[in-house]
Amino acid sequence: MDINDQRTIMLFLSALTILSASGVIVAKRPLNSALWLIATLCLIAGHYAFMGSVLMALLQILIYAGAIMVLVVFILMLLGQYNAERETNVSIVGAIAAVLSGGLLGILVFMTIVWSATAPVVSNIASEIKSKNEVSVFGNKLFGDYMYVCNLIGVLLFIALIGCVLLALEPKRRLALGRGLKAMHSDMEGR
Amino acid sequence: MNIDLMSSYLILSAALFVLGMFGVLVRRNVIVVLMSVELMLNAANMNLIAFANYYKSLDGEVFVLFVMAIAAAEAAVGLAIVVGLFRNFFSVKTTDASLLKG
Repeated sequence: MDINDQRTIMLFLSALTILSASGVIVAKRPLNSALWLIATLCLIAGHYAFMGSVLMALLQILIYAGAIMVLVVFILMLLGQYNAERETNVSIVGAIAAVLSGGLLGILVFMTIVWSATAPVVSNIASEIKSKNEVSVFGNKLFGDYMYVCNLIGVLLFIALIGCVLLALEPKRRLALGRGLKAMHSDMEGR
Repeated sequence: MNIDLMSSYLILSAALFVLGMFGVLVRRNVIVVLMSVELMLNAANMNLIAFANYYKSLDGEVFVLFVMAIAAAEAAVGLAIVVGLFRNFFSVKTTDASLLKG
């Protein structure tokens, strides 16, 4: 694949990505937003595969477009959010948001231009990715260098699970659970 | 990956991040706000993957995996909060939940 083909593919994918990402923001119905977001996530997975991170593209589709978006669509259906949202007082908020976002975009593009002018040449760095099977190198890094971070993420997911259960309980039952825990605690202290 | 492609990826992820930020600021539906946050997280992920491929190191990809795990936790807890909000206010609009507005 020569460099012009690469640029054409990248620009085509990018145009589609920006289009579907603005669909998320513009769509009136929340369910349409969710569908646009699924399209955006799949296109981003396409970008990952195009850059050479096939494993990440796979995980993106499995975790984001599969698990997280299914959860979002499920909650949308559960709460019955089918109707178009009536936007109120968006004019002043929209103007402020547009100015903020436009300013941030300008700063980021400027920083990218500055970075690309001064970026170090990396053509002679030995590749870590293409040298061996990508997944095995990835696994070694994940459970080697980043083992503690991986464990901390596990703890975070566990705490999030407990938080979800507590949030989903009815207030009455949450109080009862609190009283039960307190009674258990005083039992343990009495012993 | 050459530097041209790299800077176009940086600009693309900046655009995605800004779109997500605009959605967070403008939209009224809490679930759509959460989806815009996902968009911002994905823009950051794209930056990490682009740099990982540019510097030919896998550290960026490991970080993307962590961001995905955080995003999953955030979506679960956020949607549980949305359900709690709906239980109390019978609406998921940010304008309706304004008890602390004063």
